[in-house]
Amino acid sequence: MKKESGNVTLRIVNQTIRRVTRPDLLGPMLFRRREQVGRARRLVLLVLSGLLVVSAGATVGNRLIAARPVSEDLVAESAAKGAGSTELASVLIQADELHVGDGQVLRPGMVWVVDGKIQAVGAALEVPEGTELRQVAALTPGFVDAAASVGVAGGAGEVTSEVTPEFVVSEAIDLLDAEFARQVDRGITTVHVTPSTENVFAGFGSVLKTAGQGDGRWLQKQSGLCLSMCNDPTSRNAARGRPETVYMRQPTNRMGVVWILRSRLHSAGQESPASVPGVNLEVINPLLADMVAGRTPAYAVSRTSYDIETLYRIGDEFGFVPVLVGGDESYKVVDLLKQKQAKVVFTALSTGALGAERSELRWSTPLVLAEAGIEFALAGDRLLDQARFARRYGLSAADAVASITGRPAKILGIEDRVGKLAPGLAADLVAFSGDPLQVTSTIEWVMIDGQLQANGEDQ
Amino acid sequence: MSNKALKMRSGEGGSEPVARGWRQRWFAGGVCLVWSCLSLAYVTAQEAETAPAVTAVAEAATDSRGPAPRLAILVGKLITCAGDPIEGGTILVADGKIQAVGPSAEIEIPAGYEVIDHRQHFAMPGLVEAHCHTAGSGDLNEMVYQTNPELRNWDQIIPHNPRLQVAIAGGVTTVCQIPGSGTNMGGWGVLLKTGPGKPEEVILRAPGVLKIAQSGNPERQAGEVGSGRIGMNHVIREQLIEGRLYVQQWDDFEAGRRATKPEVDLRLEYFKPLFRGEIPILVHTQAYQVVQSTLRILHDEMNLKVVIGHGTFDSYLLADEINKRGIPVLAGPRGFRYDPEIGQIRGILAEFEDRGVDVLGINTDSPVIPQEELAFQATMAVRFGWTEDRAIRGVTIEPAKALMIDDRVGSLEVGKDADIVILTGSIIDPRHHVKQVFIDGRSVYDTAKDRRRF
Repeated sequence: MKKESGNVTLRIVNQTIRRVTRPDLLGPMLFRRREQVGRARRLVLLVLSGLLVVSAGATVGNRLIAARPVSEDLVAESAAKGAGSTELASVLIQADELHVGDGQVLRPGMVWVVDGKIQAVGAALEVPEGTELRQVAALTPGFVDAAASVGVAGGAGEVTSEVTPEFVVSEAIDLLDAEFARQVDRGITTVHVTPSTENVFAGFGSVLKTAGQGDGRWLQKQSGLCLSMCNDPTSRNAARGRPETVYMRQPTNRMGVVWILRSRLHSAGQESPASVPGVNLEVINPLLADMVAGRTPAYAVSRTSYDIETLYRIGDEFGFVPVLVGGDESYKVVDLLKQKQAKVVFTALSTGALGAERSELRWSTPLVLAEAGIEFALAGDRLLDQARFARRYGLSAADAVASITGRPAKILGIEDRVGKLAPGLAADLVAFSGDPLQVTSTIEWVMIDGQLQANGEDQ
Repeated sequence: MSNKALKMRSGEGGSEPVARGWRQRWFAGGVCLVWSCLSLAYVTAQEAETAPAVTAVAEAATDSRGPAPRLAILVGKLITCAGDPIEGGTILVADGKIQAVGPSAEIEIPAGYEVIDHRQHFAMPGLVEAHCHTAGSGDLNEMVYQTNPELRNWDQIIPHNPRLQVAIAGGVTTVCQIPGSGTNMGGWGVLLKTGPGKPEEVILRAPGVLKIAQSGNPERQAGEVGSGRIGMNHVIREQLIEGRLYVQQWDDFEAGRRATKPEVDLRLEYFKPLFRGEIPILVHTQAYQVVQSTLRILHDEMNLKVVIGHGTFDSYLLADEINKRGIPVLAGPRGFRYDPEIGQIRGILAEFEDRGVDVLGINTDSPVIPQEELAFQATMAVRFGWTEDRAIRGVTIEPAKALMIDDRVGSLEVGKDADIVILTGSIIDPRHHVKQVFIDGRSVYDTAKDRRRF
């Protein structure tokens, strides 16, 4: 193992110069804490910093960064070089407590990272000399948010029609959006950005890293088709209340939502479907057919118990099993979810008694789902807080961490790339000053694809 | 099918409504027309899944409500709504059904039956509400089109919700949850029990009824089709003709009179049980002239099982015409009205009864009148001249007949669902209250254990 990895290390070192030059990334890393900087000014600085780093990168050569705690110094140094992230070619991280991400915990545990990927994980590892060492109290995989709304420029919905499965949210994602950096600070390294829920067939979501180089950040440009079996699509009408004229569009209530779902899915199964004014069936029907056939995942937003029941009723009628997103009242329909072997992206762990659509929330819902053996992820922005609250209300520590790392990765079908500490997966790591689920613990640093990320204040 | 198509969506285009201003509407209509013509050249038989028309109540084996107990309920007075009251009666319940009912002297209690002693109390069938909006979420009116035969409301029911829990305390065990009257054809309603359970366990029939509203609420003010009664009658008729044609095609195919299998049109599927006479059409129709249209269009022209719901105002003047056609009348939400011509309150139910209307009941339109006050509406109708005996039937077996579920509920008879209300006296007397309620043979409310809710 030692010999083998020595070769690997050598190879990586030789690639250092090329990999450091990332002008498209450096701009936002420099300025993400200065959102007040004007767009034009930012652009100029971006170009300048890019030029700076091309020259800086050449001088960095094969020097490995010495082991030391990440601090303001490191951030300052990186910034001086024009980088908010720091390349670590080969590093061994020793943690008193290591969450693998699938429910296992090693105490202590080690992760060896080479070339941005995890080379090995274990209680004790042998590594070649010259490998940098890092000590942390606790280490988890980078968090995976399976239902995010980050970084979409100009709105995540196009509401002139209620049926827009051909839309893809990646086309509107601004990789330079400052919100990505905030997610990094919170330990979130992968996000599934979904279109807004105002359309019945909303379009395709996209999965990407919250930091990294340009196109290398995408894991899935088209994750799956996002549906809304909820009240949200009724919000986009030209008028409210008593009708005085024809509205912009159906639906104005859930009966209409159900109808649009059923009628479009029915049409997609027809050899010669009836035409629909304003809808290009040649484009959308193959997309819906792929979803029904299971070739494309379906992510469906439902919150109330009756909408969840309706969702799976429609799934039964047309022969597909969607991933449930939202699931506020899923604790009321546990039997159904078990029967359907449903996957749930639960987004409703909040301090409110009532959620969206006046759904009735329960703090213990993650525990209820776990006890029923239902595969679920916690999602909806502040993942760490969610895992902590789920733990507070009974979920085991291992399950709580898994529900924001390995489980969402599995639900999204990217478990062979992120979400766990396992050989071959991306080195997306979050280091803690103590037990990750204690509110007194802070995030020490975040690594994405082996790159140390500048540590912000917002965790 | 030009602008009308966008309003009520007739036509084989199966047109999804997307109306965005006049030009686009005309364009859309044109596209639809062209496609329709083209499609005639490509008529092919197709295999397609048929939408589930009627869902049945789930088998007891997997019932989330638990096993149905075997009960022997002893009561002081038995009001069966299927004959004269019985002093000192016994009801045997097994598997959620009534196994025996009659005078205690004639019924032997078999071993293994739990005896429930209500010998100080009355027993009567669970009340049947034919016009309810409180059994689900608030999704009542889908307002873009005047006719919405594609809409169904059983995806939004919330079984045993807080309002239904109070309704049970008022003796109500079956409700007909229907879409609102914001459009001429609001969609398909559902019949369900008020007790706890999963949707498939509490649903009695889906589709339960087709909801039509003929005047008042659906009227629009912008000079479009359907802004007045001429237009509204027009769009209702056109929509029903389209539905009837569709069902006719399937009937012809299934009877071998047609070679090619018609295409499944989800929008029109639920017309099948309606035009086959398996379910009724519940009409929000009130005044004399509107009820005339109801009788003419829906009964005479369409030959449908018509129920006059919400039948207030002066429609009793048409009693002869109603009787000729044997149409049930469910008045309400209230059973009396101020008659400006005579400056006096008139009892609507009494007027119908005096004119010999046979199937006669009352409804609440809850939450317009709270669901638990169904019996109280009957009480007030009695206050204004309705016969007490008829009034008790008018909240039980008569609405059950009108809704075509009298084989299941509405009276205490052998083989029917064990939906039993125990109360301290006649439900028409507002001094009495409900003590215990059974639905499908299971106790769902008991003042001895629960608080008295109403």
